[in-house]
Amino acid sequence: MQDLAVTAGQLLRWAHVFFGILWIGLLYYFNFVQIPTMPKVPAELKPAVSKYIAPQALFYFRWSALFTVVVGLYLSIQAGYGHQALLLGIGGGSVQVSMIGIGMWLGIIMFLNVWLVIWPNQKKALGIVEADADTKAKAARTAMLFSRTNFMLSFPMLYCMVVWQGLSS
Amino acid sequence: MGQAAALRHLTRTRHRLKMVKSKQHKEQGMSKILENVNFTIIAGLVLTLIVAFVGPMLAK
Repeated sequence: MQDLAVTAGQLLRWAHVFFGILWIGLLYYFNFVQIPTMPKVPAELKPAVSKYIAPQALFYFRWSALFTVVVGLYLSIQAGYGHQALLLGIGGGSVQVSMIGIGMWLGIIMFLNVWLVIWPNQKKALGIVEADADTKAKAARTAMLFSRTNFMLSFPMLYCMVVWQGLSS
Repeated sequence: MGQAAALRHLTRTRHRLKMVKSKQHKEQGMSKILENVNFTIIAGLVLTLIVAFVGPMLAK
């Protein structure tokens, strides 16, 4: 019966996966659905996306990114491999630690892209902060390119997250 | 400006121009890949393969 007891670590692991799905799910929504569809949406309907759907999606997107990374880092440090993983296992790690380390760095880069590039530029592009038409267009393009970069990085990041525990050293 | 100095200046300017053009080409190439969702998927898969093979070598 004791084996069935839920521990804080298990709940945090669940939270890490939950917020990770929310974050990457929205990233895939942006890249598979919203960005390719927007040019086909009639001009009079575009505000429905830019004023209502995108800001709400971006809210969950950026906060889930933060929670995923914070909980993930906490779990790795608590389990004792966090520091070695951030050093990519170079100089005394194992294959598993190197692999999760690459995944962690990819996740951290993606998180920084969200908070330092995508969100500030989306605020301008969506008119949440004041900007002229030229700045808006430039900001929208920058946000799109960094969103695509994260989309590309999510492939190896997910691979590392999924396979690292199963690797033999 | 003497002829030698003018030539040096010209060489430096040409070199700078070449560097700027090369940087622009690289940026445009990357932007083009990122703009196209299918290319991005292929780039992501290639990156995954690289990580899958190179990643485990880091600890050795």
